Amino acid sequence: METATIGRRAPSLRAGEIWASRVLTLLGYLVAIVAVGAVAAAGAPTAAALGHGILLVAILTHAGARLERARQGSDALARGLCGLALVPLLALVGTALSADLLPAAVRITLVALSALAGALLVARVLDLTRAELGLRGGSAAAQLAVALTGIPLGLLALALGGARAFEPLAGASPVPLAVAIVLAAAVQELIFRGVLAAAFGQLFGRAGIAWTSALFAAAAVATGSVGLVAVLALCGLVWGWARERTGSIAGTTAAHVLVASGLALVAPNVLG
Amino acid sequence: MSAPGTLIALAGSPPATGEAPTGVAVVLIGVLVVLLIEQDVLRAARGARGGPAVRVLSIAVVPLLVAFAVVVVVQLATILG
Repeated sequence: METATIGRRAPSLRAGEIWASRVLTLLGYLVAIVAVGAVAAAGAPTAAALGHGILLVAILTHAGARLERARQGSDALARGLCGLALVPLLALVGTALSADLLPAAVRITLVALSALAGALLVARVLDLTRAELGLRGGSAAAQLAVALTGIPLGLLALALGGARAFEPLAGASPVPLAVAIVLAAAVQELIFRGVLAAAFGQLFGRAGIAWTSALFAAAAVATGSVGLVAVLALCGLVWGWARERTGSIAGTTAAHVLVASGLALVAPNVLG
Repeated sequence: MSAPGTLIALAGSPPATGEAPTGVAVVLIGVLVVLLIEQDVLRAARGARGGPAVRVLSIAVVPLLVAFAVVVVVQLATILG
């Protein structure tokens, strides 16, 4: 009897250890991403780029080693790490192209296209389907409702001073900038509500939404705007939930466009 | 002055101090070299296809190559013109 009880408990203890190990591993990477973002916000781009680069190599090597050991490509943490690598990759490419070398719209478009290439490569490595990436229509009414969340969230970001992070875009031509905003929002939704949501959903179930939301906010630490980071954490939770409920990133992309265009285009022209 | 964060963090971090982008370009090429060497070592150990680790490392290569090419072209254009 005693042996049977121990025998039943052992697997759950093992599962708990695995869960704790995954949480600690990912928490370590999350803290490192935030720390490097803070370095960037402090105005040290080379040090920040170095930090992003080290994190990128570490995460990819870690994921690769785990997949090699699993041999079937079924290691859930390795899949989560592949998605996670997109965050420092995005930041590194963004840092490299953020100097005043190119017009803002061109710069944003190039970063978005590079990030898109990375996201598609991760989706291929992880064998993610279009449905897992949220690339389907769904109910038009539901997507419209999700899209409209962009209005209150954009106003909240404005109230918390999020527009200050976009001030350097003042003077950029509005039409190319608007096109770049749509492209950038779509790519970011593909990354955070598509690739990362799928990878972290497999790891943590519904709690995966909180992880992707934290990463979404962590990616904005480099802006140095606490208000924007807080609003993006909220956006991540709302849009992550909406994506899970509707199965599509169409509505969240539209909401993201509303928030970004409100801060970058509407606020400077309406509010000065 | 560059654009901090630009679009909800998409453009990453700003060289707000006006620091020359050369340092960032050096980091970029350094990371690329490390990834390519790591891929080569894995291929040498495991054969031409290299296994899943090589595919995972390739995730970062194309985006970083694009970024590096843009930085080089723009820097050259600045120097020459």
